[in-house]
Amino acid sequence: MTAIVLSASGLRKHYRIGALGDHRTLVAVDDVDLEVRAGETVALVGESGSGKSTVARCLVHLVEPTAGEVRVAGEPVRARPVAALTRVYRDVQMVFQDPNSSLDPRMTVRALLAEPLRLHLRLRRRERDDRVRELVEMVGLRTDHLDRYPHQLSGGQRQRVGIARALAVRPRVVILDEPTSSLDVSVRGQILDLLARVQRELRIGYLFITHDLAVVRRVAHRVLVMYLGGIVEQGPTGAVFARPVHPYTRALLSAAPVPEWGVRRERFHLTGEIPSPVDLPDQCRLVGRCPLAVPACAHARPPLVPVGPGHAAACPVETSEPTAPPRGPGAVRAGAAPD
Amino acid sequence: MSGASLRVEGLTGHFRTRRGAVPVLDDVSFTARAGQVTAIVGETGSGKSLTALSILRIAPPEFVVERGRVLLDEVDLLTLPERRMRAVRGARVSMVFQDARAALNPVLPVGRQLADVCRLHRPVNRRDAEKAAVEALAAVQIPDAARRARQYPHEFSGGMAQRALIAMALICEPEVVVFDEPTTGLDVTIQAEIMALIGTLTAGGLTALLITHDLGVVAETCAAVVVMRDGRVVEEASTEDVFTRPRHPYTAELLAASRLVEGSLA
Amino acid sequence: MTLLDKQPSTVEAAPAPVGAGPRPARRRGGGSLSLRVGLALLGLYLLAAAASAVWTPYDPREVGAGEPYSPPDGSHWFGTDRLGTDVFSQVLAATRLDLGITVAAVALALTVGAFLGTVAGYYRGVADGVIMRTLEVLQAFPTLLLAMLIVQAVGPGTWNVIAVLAFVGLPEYLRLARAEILSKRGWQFAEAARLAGCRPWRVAFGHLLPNSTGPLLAYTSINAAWVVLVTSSLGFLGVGIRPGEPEWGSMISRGQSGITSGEWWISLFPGLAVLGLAAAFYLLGDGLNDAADPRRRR
Repeated sequence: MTAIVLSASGLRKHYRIGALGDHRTLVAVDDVDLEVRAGETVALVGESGSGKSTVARCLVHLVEPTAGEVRVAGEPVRARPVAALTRVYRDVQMVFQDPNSSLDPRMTVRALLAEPLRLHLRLRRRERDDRVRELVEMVGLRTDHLDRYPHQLSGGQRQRVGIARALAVRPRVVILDEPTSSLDVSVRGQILDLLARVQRELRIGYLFITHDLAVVRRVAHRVLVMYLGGIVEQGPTGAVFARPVHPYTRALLSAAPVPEWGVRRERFHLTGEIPSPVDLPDQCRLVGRCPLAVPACAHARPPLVPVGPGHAAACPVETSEPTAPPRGPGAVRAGAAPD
Repeated sequence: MSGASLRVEGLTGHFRTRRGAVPVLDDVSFTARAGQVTAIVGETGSGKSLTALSILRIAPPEFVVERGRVLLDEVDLLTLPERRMRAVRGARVSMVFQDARAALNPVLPVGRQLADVCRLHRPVNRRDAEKAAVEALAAVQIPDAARRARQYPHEFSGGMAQRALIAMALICEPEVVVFDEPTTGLDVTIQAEIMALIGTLTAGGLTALLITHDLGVVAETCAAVVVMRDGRVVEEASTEDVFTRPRHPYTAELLAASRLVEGSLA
Repeated sequence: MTLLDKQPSTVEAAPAPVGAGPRPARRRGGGSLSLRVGLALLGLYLLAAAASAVWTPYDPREVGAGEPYSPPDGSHWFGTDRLGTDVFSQVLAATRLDLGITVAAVALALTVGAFLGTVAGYYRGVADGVIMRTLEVLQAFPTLLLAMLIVQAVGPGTWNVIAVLAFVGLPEYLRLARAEILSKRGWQFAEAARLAGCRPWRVAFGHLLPNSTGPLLAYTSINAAWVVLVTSSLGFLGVGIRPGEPEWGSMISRGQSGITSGEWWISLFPGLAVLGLAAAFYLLGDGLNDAADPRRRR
């Protein structure tokens, strides 16, 4: 079994909102556990408002989590002292969604790539130059791109710069926050290929945050499906796509458009839209939208229950069916399911 | 709603820039038939949005049409005087934009905004216009339309706002509606519902032109596809042909790129 | 995988102008023109300041360099004043003082204002509260009045005047910097910089502040022009600058009676000098704002 490079347990993020006397709690991330191993791609899937981007930011303390522990390469991540947190960024890096706004517009590609080498690795000028050239080559850019500013590059080229910068310090794990969602489809394929090649060469772990199910299917070894701050289903990509268990996963998968002629999807419909994550009661988050709901769903928030090898879902209705008997008593921790 | 087919013929144009004319549309021709959804598919810079804007003559002023015709019932929209074009816009041909919330005025109730559009083209009083607005909202399957009409855009979710915008485009019962990336930025579950709605509307005779970069959306809802690249139409065919027998290599490339699933890892 | 590998790279060409549309017309070339004119004007003043250090036609303090009240002619280009002192030499010599005060006061206000504004905007919390409340108290006073009061309190002297003018101009820089930083601190490039190994202070001062200079630089022009005017106002009122120092404002003041009695040159030339310098700063700031942003560079 390969080393766990990124893990989180009991991760929560609450925001206090409202004015005097009217304090309410917005739960953005609600008790999330996850694990990423070296050389593995774990996809975190969810729609807008599911809290997946907040999870990404909590993992690297760009947003301070309310509770929970994050470990990078086995070491717990702490926000203080600042120097210790900065040091963690040598092992965990991030690629951002929008390469337009994640690259400082006043820096050339060379300066953007040299910055982490200078600050994290304290390389000398000569070594930096060599490494910058190496990086540019690795992500499929040319050295004459080095003296350009981000606005002089295409969207795909910018995202390549974003990836090169994340790889500069040779991290153990990279969090990819919707890295392809602002790109054209043809460029999307090239970027995914690049990420896959780099992963093979360097055995990096990826936490791939996306709403694009085609991408998940293509790149992920395991999938975590997030809804309203919590993980409702997880498992090996093949298993989840072949036999989605949780009603939300089924709705999501059945709604994804397929670029094939004559494919009639059997839609699994949820009613209404994703509710506001303010002052949520302790019940299944899908109550009110789910056609399968039974009274028990409203009594307590269902835990993740194993439904197959490494596959678990948080739905008491579906997981109690005879076709999918729970294998062990009680819940498994997310991500801790046997591989 | 009785549809009329829309035909674009040889649309060619360029952008005026400091460094001279930059050609952007080159001999764009296609037909959108009544009662079905025709998709214009292309990537960034293909000219698909510019084509859509040119149909309604709302392209940016730097864009210069050199030649070509946009025919609605044998009338060339490009040669109409601006005054008569205003009567066409919204009433016979209307448009739904990508970012619904940005397209709605945040300080006016949604119903009022729909009513205003209605009154722009029809000699109706305010009360009748507001009634038409509620009906239009109900027609796009917004539940509790009367209450929703009194709400402001920020009280609408993204999907609801997009429905409201579609209702606004439909309120004067146009023959042609141009949908410019109507589901980009919406979640897949909402996207599926919006596309189903567009399908229902065309079944009633509407001519719909769908501008999109997402071939997945196209496969389900559209009858015909126009593939654009670098300002040219590279392929115009029925959806079935495009997906099963793409003739142009670029169409095949685009399909391959959209179908990431093939040869997947895992 | 192979399916995508053979995709031609042409699909990902450099950003094409197709469909995107050109940027909105933004004073094409006008930025560089105002920069050039502003620079030229300021260069002229700098030259005058430098020249006056080594050479003036007459000693600017010399009484009776010519006939009192002689109008501009070949030997006294700007005429002479009540005591027969050469006005041209005085205007030239005053450039050094007025320009020096302006540059120093603006630079000081910009530096301190940008620093405090960045601290307040990036770190928020207590620092922000203290800085902003103090600011609000200060801004309750009319600026010119405040400047005069403080100069009176701290006493005359060039450095005191500089410090006071900087102090009075600082709040606007602080406000601008804070607003810019606040609006940008959540941007992805700020987060990305943190992951690239920047400590928070480096994110704030190395990434956010350089991307916030547009409004600050634009304001330096207005501020510099204002400082030029206030410096001469203080001189005109006889506050701050030691009497006898060649200073435009005090020269205007001394010549003001001449405006009604016909000796217009004594006030006019220092007045033009003030005006020209203020204009130079306006143009320069305008041009700099465009030039400092690589996205607007051609």
